[in-house]
Amino acid sequence: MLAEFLSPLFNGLFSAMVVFLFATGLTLIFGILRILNFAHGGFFMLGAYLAFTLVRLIGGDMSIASYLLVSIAAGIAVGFCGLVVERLIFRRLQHVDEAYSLIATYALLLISEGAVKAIWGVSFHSATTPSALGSAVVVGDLVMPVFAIFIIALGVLCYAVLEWILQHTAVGKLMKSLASDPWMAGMLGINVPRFYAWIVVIGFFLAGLAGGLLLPNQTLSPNLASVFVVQAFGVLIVGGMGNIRGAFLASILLCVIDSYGSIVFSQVPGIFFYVAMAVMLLARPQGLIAGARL
Amino acid sequence: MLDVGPLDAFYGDSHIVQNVSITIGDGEGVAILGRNGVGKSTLFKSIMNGGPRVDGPIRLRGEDITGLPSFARARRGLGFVPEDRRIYPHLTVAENIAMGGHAARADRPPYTLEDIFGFFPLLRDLQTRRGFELSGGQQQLLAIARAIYGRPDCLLLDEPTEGLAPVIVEDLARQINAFRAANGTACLIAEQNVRFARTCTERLYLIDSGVIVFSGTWAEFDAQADLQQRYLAV
Ligand SMILES: Nc1ncnc2c1ncn2[C@@H]1O[C@H](COP(=O)(O)OP(=O)(O)O)[C@@H](O)[C@H]1O
Ligand SMILES: [Mg+2]
Repeated sequence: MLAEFLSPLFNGLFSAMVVFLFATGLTLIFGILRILNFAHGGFFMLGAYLAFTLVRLIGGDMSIASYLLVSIAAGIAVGFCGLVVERLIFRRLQHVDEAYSLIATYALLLISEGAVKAIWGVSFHSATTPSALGSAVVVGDLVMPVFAIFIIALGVLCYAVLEWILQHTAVGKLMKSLASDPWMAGMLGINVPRFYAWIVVIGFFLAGLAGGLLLPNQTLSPNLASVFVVQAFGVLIVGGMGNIRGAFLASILLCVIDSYGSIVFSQVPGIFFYVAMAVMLLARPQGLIAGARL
Repeated sequence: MLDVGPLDAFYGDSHIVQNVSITIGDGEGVAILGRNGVGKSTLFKSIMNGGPRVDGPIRLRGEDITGLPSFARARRGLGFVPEDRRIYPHLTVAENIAMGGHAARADRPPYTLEDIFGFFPLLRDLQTRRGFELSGGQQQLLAIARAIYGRPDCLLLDEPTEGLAPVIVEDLARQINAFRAANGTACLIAEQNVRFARTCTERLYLIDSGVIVFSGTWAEFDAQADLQQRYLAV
């Protein structure tokens, strides 16, 4: 009885934090640079594959600590890719029509998929969950996998850290200022291009980190790049176009609604994410948190 | 101090600023007068590399700054207040002022907040207010405070009195003059308010349709009675 009601909530929160972890880097880059990075999923996938290779190299069962370290290493490697991508591509997109951003980042997505195919092949791989996260917590008849609890906690932690940085640190205030008026920031002596480069690196780091963290939950194939992209774009839009808090709330709202919807209408699972998204956009076209960027 | 031009500036195909040359000496106050739409803001943005396509040299303290991005010009000693002020609404007054510190140079640390409140006492009581809570006059004062915080050699004020009540304009002139007298900061002011410009500067350029039509001291300006009628009155 309890499980019937709470289990969709738990599953919804789990999907929500998966989507949110995926969407943070995307949201950050969009919030500050106003570039919608279609390649985000490609670099998320690259992070997952890199983490997969590291796990293989280490061998045996992983502790939680090494799982986290592997994910951070994947994040750093993808962050370096971000540095190159910023130099070669994003820097050139600042002063051109948005259509070019779309084409350029889509091309980058194809390149990242091609790179993954070339390095790891097209066959499917899967990583095992660290055994410390492999069990489940049972409350009454509600079964909660520890890995899912762990991801929910990581998602909330990731949100809390980003929110704290944005609201309470000098760097966060600078980020919000640059997001709202980069032109004036330049007039005041702030090296805006270098700041943008850092944001891209951090956004890519978050993509790679998410790839590593969500690896135990995924089947690795070159399709992984597009698994979360549509949901992440939905969260970005419903959240208010580049607002971290909005993205967090939108992830929870859409995924929990979807989770309950899929129980009630089990013939069409997954469709309620989009129904909820459409309703939200009709009700609040400006997004959950409008006006304030980041 | 600042030697501009001969300079041409364009928005797309429109040739807005045409063959304009201006110079400002060390610590000097200079006004650029002209009606709406003659190209004053375009000239200021050209000096800061903040939008228009610019053709022509700009030298600051003898150094060629042509081609440098805006942030580098700010760091070389240009403190800019745009006509729309652009206060950061989510930041407090103190935080807005501190944003100007990014322009400070290693050999010249920024002023302290105390210094700034000494120049503009009104800001002291407002320091925890957020940008969006300020009146137009308070925003203008804050924008100037923010621009001087990094100790610029030359302050560029684009129509500082636009939209301000006359009594506030008078206050503003007094505070700007006191600050400049104490610190020897040069100043270029774009204005349509002749009275204010006269109080704050020693000489002026008149600009019409992107071209300089007069340059001289205020006494020389007054000697040609038709100038004001022809290029300023509406
Ligand atoms: N961003 C812009 N794009 C195109 N034209 C502009 C832009 N800004 C100003 N202009 C044009 O340039 C001319 C000069 O404008 P401006 O420099 O703002 O004049 P002022 O500051 O003297 O009122 C005007 O005709 C205006 O329409
Ligand atoms: Mg103007």
